Amino acid sequence: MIIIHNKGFIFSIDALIAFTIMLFSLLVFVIILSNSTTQLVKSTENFYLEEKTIFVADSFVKNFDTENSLLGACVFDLEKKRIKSNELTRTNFANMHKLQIDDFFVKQVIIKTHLKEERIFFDARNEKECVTVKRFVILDGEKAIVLLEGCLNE
Amino acid sequence: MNKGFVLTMEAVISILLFGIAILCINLPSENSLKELLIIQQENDLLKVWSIDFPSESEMILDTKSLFENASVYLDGAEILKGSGNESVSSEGIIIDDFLIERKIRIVVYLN
Repeated sequence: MIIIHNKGFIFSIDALIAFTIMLFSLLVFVIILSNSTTQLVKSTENFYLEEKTIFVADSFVKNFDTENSLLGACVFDLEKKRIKSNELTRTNFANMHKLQIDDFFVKQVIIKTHLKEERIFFDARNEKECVTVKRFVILDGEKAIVLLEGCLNE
Repeated sequence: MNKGFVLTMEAVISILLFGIAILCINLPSENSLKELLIIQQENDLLKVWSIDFPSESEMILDTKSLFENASVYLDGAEILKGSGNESVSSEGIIIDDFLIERKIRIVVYLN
């Protein structure tokens, strides 16, 4: 009787320890999985915002778009029939319209020269998260910095 | 002997599972387009300088307006000093106002 009780007792403790370790392992797994998923979602969201902002800013300083200058405000050389990348003109800024790609939109564009800083485009919508990209250009013969802010809808 | 062996196996499996769980701590790496943006900005500088070739002091000012920590080399000579371990660099040859080839290298440090 005593032998059986002792054996049962020893076995229970061992199983309990093993089961506790198993549960603890499972808990660690779930915590790691949860953290990883949260970080991955955040990272993907940031990457999406970063990607869109960088590509729109690149298009702004490298292209010429007749419909929306936010996608290209460069000088177009009619003689050579080519776009002069990184050479912007204020004339093209008049044709800027709101730009929306899924839940991404361009919040504002600021031009900084040695003398002044001016906002040439602004979208008053509420934003959840924003990223600003800085580019170096020549604006009407003067060196300038373009700050393009891209955001995600609230 | 047999019972002892069975119990040991349970413990070993539990410890192994715990070890695997610990080893599985592999946080996803941050995806970033920082390097791409730096290359684009470096190329902006080279492009603008190729339109109107600047003086050394202008080059330094232009670079500082975009980057906090960067080096600029003009014909092999360092005109702006930066430091760091990881860097992104761009190089270009620009013809200056006297039609002389000038080799420019911009190194941007990430840390």
